[in-house]
Amino acid sequence: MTTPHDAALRVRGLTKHYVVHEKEPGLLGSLKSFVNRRSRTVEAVRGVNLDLARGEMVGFLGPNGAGKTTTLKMLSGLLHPTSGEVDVLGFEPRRRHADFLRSITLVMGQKQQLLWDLPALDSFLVNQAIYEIDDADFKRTMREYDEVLDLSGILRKQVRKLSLGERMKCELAAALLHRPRVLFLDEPTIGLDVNMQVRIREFVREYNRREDATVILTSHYMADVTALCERIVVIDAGRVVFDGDLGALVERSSPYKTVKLQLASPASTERLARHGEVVSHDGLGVELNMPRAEVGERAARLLTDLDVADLTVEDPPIETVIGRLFGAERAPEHA
Amino acid sequence: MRAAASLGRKFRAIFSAQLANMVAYRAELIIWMLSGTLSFIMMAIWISQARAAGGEIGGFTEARFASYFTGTWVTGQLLVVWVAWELDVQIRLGNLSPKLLRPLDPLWEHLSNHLGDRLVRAPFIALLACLPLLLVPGAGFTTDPRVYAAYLLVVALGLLIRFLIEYCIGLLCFWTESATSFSEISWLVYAALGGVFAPLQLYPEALRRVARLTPFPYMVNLPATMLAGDAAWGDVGRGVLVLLGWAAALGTLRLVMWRLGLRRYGAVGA
Amino acid sequence: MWLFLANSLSAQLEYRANFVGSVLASFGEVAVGLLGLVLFFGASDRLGGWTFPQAALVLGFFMLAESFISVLLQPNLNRIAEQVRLGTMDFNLLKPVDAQFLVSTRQVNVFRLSDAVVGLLVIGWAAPRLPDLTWGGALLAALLFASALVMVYSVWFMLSTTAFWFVKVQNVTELFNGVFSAGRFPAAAFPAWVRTALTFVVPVAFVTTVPAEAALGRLDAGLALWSPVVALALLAASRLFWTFALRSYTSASS
Repeated sequence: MTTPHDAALRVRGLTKHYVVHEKEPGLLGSLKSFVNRRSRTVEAVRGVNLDLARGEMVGFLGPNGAGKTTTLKMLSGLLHPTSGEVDVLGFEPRRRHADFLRSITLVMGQKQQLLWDLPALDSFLVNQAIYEIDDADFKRTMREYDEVLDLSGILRKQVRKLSLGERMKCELAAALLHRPRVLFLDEPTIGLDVNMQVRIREFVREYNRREDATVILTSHYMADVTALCERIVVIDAGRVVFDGDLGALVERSSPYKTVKLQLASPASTERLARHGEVVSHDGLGVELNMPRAEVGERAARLLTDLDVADLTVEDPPIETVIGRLFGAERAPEHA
Repeated sequence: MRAAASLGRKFRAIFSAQLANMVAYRAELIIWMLSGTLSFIMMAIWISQARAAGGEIGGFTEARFASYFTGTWVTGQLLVVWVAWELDVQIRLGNLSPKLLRPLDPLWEHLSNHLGDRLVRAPFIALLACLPLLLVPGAGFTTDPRVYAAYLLVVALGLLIRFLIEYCIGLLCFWTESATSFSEISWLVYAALGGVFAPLQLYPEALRRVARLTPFPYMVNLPATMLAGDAAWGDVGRGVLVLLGWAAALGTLRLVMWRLGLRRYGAVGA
Repeated sequence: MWLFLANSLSAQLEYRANFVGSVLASFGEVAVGLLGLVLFFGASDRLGGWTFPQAALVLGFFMLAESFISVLLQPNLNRIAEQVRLGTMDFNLLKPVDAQFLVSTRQVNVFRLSDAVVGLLVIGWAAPRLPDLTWGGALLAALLFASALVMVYSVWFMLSTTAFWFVKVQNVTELFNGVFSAGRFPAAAFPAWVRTALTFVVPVAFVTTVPAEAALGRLDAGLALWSPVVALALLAASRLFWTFALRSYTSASS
């Protein structure tokens, strides 16, 4: 178990309310709101609790607008919480203490911080000065990152002439130049092709291993999360609706396993339905959902009943699981 | 002391990057320079007026007008500031966020960006300033090196004040949706009261009195007069003191606005 | 058309501060001109042979032209550059409406109508102080000003069309504003060679000085005839340049 010394991050009752201006559609609505503004409070984050140990990698999952990015911004100190406590490495992020800033980094896949019209190397040198990295450390770090990210060919090209993937590699390396102990990665692989996603993932995993750094990652690509993080935090409508390991998430939110069959001779759908919920039935190919706990027993029965050429048991795809989770968790609110 | 040395190191690194940045923008830079025509328009009309009035107006001959307005143009070019526009964009689009997570006030990056521009701009300014001085007979700048040394000091303070005023205007974006139109107004006031339209001696007394309540005459009229070789050292000394006072006051204002603004930025969204 | 207007208007109403800023900027613009006039007339009683109210009339026309640019031209034509950069220009080319018309009329910046209001105020102040003003002259002035607006549109449109090659077209329009601001004052106030340049090299004089001269009944017939000729020539040139630009754009992009 983690001792207090191993804790990297501790969040209690974190909430964030925004005030947004509202406007009725159309010209008349605009005129009205021009004169008399109406506002409404949006509860973007409502009471998030979270503990992270040093070296832990956690994936934030949730639909758009669930509060992932808002939470990340509060943890990094950009946003001030409406209420609640945040402790990152013993600092209160919103104070943005210089020592705190030197120990963290925030990478936003949608925002860039490299100087657009200059070679990427110039931005690295600026960061070297800002973070007060001495030359020996700088060289060592650059060598290390170059090994994984293969930067040497692109550092001297103007940033605006780099491809999206090349640019993201540079962004990431620049953001990690000061070897932060806590990484906030908001959609770091957005828009990248699969090869580049894998590359970035490897780099993050390697960094985490070497530096024992704590990583919080949000991503649209489930593969990012499943490849890097054992622990998943699912945020929906500003609340943590799940916090645990990936396997438990699948188990909890999907009580079924999918059994894929290749039949040797045809069988009717009615007959198949006796063994489980028929997901698809296409000639000799069949997919059945079975309750997780009964898979073994049912599969045995199925093998004696049907003429089966091949059988595999799988967990449903994680996308489906998450989709179902949000559907299930949200339902009571509407009811 | 160590803090200052470390800030110096950081600033040097940012400055050299921003200098390279401005070199990449040199073509635009020349176009921006050529767009600042107000000094030249005023010069042309005043010269024409002086000629129509039989050679001089209020003690200003054609040559003296040419020297003065070339001086206001050179000074105006050295005081060009666009930080309000930059802050406007950075605050509205959230590009300020990554900069806030670095252990250095973003002000230094903005300032070095302007200083880099000045260094790239300087040779073009010198070149273009020669044109009117050569074309109008009798026009010319002072040859006293001490005046140029003092000029640099006055202009550096003037730039600092322009920068801080525009910075405060840009920070208004924390509270309003956009601040760029205020920046246009601020430029007009600075140009009008600074003496870009005419040497301050030719302004009506009431307007001159208003102008003296602001730092602007010491930012344009004074340095232009210095270049033209007409400034008294007493005026220069007084100007430097006034500018120092304004710089301190505006520096404080920007610090207060920055603190309050960040609190708001943190409160409403980044 | 109405829908475009309504949409861009409601987008702008979101920005209350901008509204205040625009009004302030209009007063600032006119203040620049008025301050200049006050200073010139403080030192002598004529500006290139023009009296104060006569010169004010020029300033009024200048503000109207500025308004035309800020309200109608700038928002649309600056967008050309943006659309070329983002690749959304293609949508315009696919619509069954003339593309030049479409890119020229999409948006309006209503706030800068304040420029026009201020301009009319200045003209309204000057008019009763001008003994030479006749109804015939005023009518001719209005016609010549309309022709001047065609020139302004054509030149702006050509400058914006350069966006197909140079993406940072805002800089070119900055340059235009720099030259155009000379139109605040009567062309006669400038030394002879500048005056010639402002008439024939960059037709700034046609926009503000020529209509004012027409109103005062002191325009020579030659310039009155030249104005529509120059306007039509520029309009044709802008059309040719646009089709040329489109040809090179559609053949270059994929």
